[in-house]
Amino acid sequence: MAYLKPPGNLRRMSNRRTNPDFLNGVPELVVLELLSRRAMYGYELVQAIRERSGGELTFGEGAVYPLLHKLEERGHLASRRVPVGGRSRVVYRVTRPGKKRLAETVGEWRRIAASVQDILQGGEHAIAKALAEGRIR
Amino acid sequence: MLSLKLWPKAASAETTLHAELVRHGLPAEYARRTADELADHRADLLADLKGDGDAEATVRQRLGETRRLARQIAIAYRQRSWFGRWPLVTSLFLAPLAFATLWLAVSFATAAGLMTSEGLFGNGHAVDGQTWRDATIAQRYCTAVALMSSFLLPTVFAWKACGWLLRRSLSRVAAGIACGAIAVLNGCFLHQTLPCPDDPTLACNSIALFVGRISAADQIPWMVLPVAGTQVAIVLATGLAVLWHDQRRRQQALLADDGAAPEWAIAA
Repeated sequence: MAYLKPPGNLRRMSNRRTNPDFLNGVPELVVLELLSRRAMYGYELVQAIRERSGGELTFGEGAVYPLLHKLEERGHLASRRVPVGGRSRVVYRVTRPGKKRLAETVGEWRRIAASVQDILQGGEHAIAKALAEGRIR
Repeated sequence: MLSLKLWPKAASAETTLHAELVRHGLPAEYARRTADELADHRADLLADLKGDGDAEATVRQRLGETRRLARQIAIAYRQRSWFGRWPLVTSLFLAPLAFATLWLAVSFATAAGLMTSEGLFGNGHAVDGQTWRDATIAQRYCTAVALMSSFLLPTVFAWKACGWLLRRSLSRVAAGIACGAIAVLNGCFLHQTLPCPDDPTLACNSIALFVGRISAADQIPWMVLPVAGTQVAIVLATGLAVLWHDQRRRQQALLADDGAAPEWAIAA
């Protein structure tokens, strides 16, 4: 996912490093994927995103929590409060509709990523494949 | 002490995330939950960074300043719905369009309801393809339809639509614009009773646009203007009540926050 790195000028423009606009939709995919593996609370999730992406994906707390709430409102996530050391943590898990949504998003992402990859490689492979499948003449 | 001012005072230099979220117009419960989760997040981050030099500075750098974080959360909240992303389109076009549709529907439904109970009011007289009624009865029809569609409907619609738009867009400007557009439209739609040219004891009802040709306006401009003015004023008053109610809600949430367990406060 090296091509997801924000360009240098974008990094300089903001004093807090977050990912650029073309990653719209990716936070939802990443959050659903990580939470489908196991239930997590917000901090754990943010840490998991950083670690699993090797520090490349940094959505920022201001984006992650509203996203969790939005997905919960849409029924893709469910939450429960867990008391930990005198505090109460909100732990999120993916619901059945959330898993369905994840499957759709993963499929979509794979198609787009493959298309972009084809273009970056010069497009010959994609043209040959499309010709073979009869999608273009 | 609750202020009646619609616009809050400038926030103090020291603030909390909950207070900032409430100031942005987020629902109190949502603001409380988000602030609690981020306070918990911050505590975990601080615990992880213990012994790493200036942990507070690192946390501040990671989370950002309170006001900036609150603005980011408010923007993300608005982005959740199409209406929140396009508040001006909703205020200027969709709300008036929905109102005009409902206005026509209520007008015709009320008129149809009255006609089905025609026996109570007396039958109409057909002259040259036009149904004329006794002038007193026609006036009663007109008053009933106007009360439903030009007074009751706009009040309820402005209250619901402005409140709904405020919750989605968090913008009092957008809610105010929607209310203004509905008020202007409501002032333009008029119900009128026209006297029969052949028999002054008979009359019929019609709908007119204030901005266009009003059949009887040249005869009764003094009656049309106050009615249209009242129709505009009733919607504007409702809109102001919605904005005042929202301001009170924000202030009450902030007052409730004063007694709550303190989350972190950062010089913003």
